[in-house]
Amino acid sequence: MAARFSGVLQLTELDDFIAPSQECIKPVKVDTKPGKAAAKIRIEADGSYFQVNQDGEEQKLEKAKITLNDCLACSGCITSAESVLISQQSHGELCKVLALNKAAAAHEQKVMVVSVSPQSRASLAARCKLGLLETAQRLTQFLKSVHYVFDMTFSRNFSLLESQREFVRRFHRKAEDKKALPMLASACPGWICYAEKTHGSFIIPHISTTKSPQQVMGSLVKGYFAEQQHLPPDRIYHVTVMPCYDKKLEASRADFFNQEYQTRDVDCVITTGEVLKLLEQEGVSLSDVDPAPLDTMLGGAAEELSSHRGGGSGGFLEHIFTHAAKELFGIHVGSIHYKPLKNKDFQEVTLERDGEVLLQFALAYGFRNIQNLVQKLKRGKCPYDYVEVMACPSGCLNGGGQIKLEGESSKEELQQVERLYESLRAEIPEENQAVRELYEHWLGGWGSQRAQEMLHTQYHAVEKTNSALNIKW
Amino acid sequence: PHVPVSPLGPGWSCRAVLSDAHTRTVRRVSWSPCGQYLASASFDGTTCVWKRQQDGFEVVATLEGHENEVKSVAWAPSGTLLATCSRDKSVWVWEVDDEEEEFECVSVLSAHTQDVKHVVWHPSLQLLASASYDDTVRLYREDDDDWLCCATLEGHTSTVWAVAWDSSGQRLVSCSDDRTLRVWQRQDSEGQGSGSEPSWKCVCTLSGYHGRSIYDVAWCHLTGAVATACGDDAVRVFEEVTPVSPMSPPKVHRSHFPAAFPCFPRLTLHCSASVLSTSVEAEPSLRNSPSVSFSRHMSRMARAVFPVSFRE
Repeated sequence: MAARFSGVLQLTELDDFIAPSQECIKPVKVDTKPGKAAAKIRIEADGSYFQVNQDGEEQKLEKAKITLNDCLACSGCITSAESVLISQQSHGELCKVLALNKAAAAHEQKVMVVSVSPQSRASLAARCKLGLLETAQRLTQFLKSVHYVFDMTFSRNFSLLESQREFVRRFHRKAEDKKALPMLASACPGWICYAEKTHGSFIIPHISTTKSPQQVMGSLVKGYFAEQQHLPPDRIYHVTVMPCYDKKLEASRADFFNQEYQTRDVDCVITTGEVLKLLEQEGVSLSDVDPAPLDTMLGGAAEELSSHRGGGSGGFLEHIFTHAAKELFGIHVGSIHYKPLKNKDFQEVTLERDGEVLLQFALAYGFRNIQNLVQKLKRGKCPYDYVEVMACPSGCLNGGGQIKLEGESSKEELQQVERLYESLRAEIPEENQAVRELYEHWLGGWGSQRAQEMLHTQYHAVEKTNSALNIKW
Repeated sequence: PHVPVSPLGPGWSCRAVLSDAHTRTVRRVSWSPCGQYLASASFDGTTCVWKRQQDGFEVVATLEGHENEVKSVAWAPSGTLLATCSRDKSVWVWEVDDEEEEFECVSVLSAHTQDVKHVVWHPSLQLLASASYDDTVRLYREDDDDWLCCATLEGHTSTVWAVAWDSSGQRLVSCSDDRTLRVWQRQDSEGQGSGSEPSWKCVCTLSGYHGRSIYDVAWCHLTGAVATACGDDAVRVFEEVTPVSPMSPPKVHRSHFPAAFPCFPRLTLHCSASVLSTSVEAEPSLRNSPSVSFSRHMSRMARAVFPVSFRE
C-alpha cells in the first residue's frame, strides 16, 4: 500500500501536527444473526469465507467493508483505506486523468480546471526562485493540457465575507444561544476532522458554517463556471493545488458531493510538493517555461495578483475583527496588534474602548494550542469571541504538503515563503467587483438562500460505538 | 469509606483512598518536588493532579488529551512541569500556572513510533527521557517556545520498559524486554562547536544476568547502585567497579538477591497487580504461585517484582 502512496509525504521537523490516531473510529458493521452453536469457518481457495453449521449447512459470509468515505473522520487509520483514498488523489492520478481526457471522444471530454491556492504558489515561487506573478504565469503555461487555471484567492473573498457576516449574526444572538460564541474557524480540515472525531457535538455548534476557500471554489467552478460554459457539473474535472494533505479528505466529504450529477465539487487535490514532482517528472524547470496570461472566472485576463491581509492562513481573524469592530461598535480598526501568549502559535487580539474589552479574538495554531483551547472551552473558561484555529504550527504556509527547500533551515525557508506571500497588494473583499457581481447575479444577493446553500456547510459528530476494534482491553 | 489496616505492620497507616477520579487502572503516581501535589496517570486516558488538604487530597486538575491509556507521569525537578506518556505514542509536556493551579499543554511530542511506557526527568535540568515499545529511549528538551526530541538512543532489541538517571545526569540506564540493561553516557561535543546537540553513547550493556523481561530500574543517587525488577522473580543490584584504566568502560558487578538486601533485615516485596479495575487481583504469597487467568504474559507480570524504587 505504501508504494502507491504519493512519495512526497514526509515527516517535518516540527512536532506539533495532529498525529495519526490508532483507533479506527468507524467500526465495521456486519449484520449478525444469533447462532445456536459454534460454527466452523472454512476458507475457500478464492478467499471467500463459508460458515459451516453443525448440521453441515453452509453459508457464505459477508465480507466486511469500510468505504473510503467512512475513513474521513479518522486522522489516521489502522487499515490502509485512508492511504488509498489519498493515493486516489495524487499527481499520478492527475496525469492519468489528463491522459484519458485527451484520448476521450469529444462529447465525453471534460473541461479541466485547476485552482491554485496562494500558499502553494508562494511555496513554489520560493523553491523555483521566481516572483509570484511569474510563478503563476508559468504554472498556467505548464499545465497547458488543462483548460483553465484559477487563483483561489478569488474564492477566499467569499469565505471571508461570509465569515464576517456569520460572526456578527452570532454575536447578536449570544445572549440566547450559549453556543454561538466563541466562533471557531472552519477553513482547516485537519482541525474539523479532529473536532468531529474527538469532541463531537460539544464543539460543533461553535464551528463556523462557512465553507473553506477550496470548497467555495468547488461550488463556484461546478456551479457558476459550469453554467457559464453551458456544461453540467460532471463534465468539469476540478483540481486544486493545496499546501496540505488534509484538503484531500475535505474534498471527499459527502457534504461536497453533488448527488444529482454524481460529481464532487473538487475532484482531485494535489499538494504543492506533488506539483513539483510533476515538474520533475516532465523534466521541466518552471523558470524555463514561458509565462501565459492568467485566467479569471468571469473571463478576461488578470493583470496582477492580489492577496488578503492577516497572515498566510487566509486572514480570517483580521477580516472578521475589522468588520465586527465597525458593524458592532462603529470603530474603525487601522492595524491589528497581536499579543503572543505562551508561544508564537497562540496570539491574542483585543478591541478596547475606554478600558472596556469589547472583543477578544485569538489565533490558535498547532495541536497543543488546540488542546488548550478546547480544554478551556470545556471548563467554561474561554475568554475569546473568535478563534482562528489551524492544525499546522505556523499556519498554512507551513502545511504538510508544502515544498521543503534544500540547504536552508526550516525557519529560514518558512520566512522566505512568508515574505513572498506578503509581497502582494492586499485587497478588500467588499471592494472586489467580480465578487459583488457574483453575489448579485448568481447568488441572488447578500444573505440569500442560495448564498447559504452554496457557501455554507455542516459538520457531523463521529459517534464511537463499541466493536472489536475499539474495545479497551 | 472503610480504610483498611495496613498489612505492613506498625509505622504506616493508610491516610486516604482516592477512588473517585479515575475510571480505570491507575498506572503510576508521582509526588511533586514540593510534596504538596500528587499526580496520577490512568488507563482511562486522564492524569489527575491532587492537592494535599487538611483532611486528605482534592483533585485540582484533570489533564485530558491523550487518546488512550496514560502509562506514566513525572514531575520535573523545577515543579512547574509535568510529563505524561501514553499508548497513543506521544509524550506531553504540561506547565502549571502557579496562581490558577491550571495546567496547560506546552508540547505534544510524537517522536516514538509505538506505545510509550515511561517518562522520567533529568535530576536537575529540564531534560526529559522516555522509553517505548519501539525499542528506543528518546530525550527531549525545550527549544524556543516548543520542545523537540534531541536524541534517540537505539540499541535495545525489544520494548524499553523504564529509564533511570544517575545523580549527575551524565548517564542514564535503560531496562528492556530484551533482558539487558544499557548504560548511556552523555558525550559532550567539544569538537563540534557550541550550540550543537550532545550525543549519547551506550557505554555498557549488561546481558546474561536477567532471565526474563526487566520491567523497572532504579539508580540510587546516594550510592550509585542500580537495582532492577525482573520477570524472573528476582531483584538484582549492580554496582560499578572502578575502572582499571580511564579508557575502559565501567564494569558492573552483579549481585543477585532473591529476597534479601544487606541494608534491610528482610525486604518484603509486596506485589499486588490489579490488571483490570474490576479485577482479579494477583497477590502472590511467597509460597504459592498465584492462579491468574490471564495470558501468560500478564500472569508473569503479576508475579514479578514491579516496580522498584530506592528510599531517598
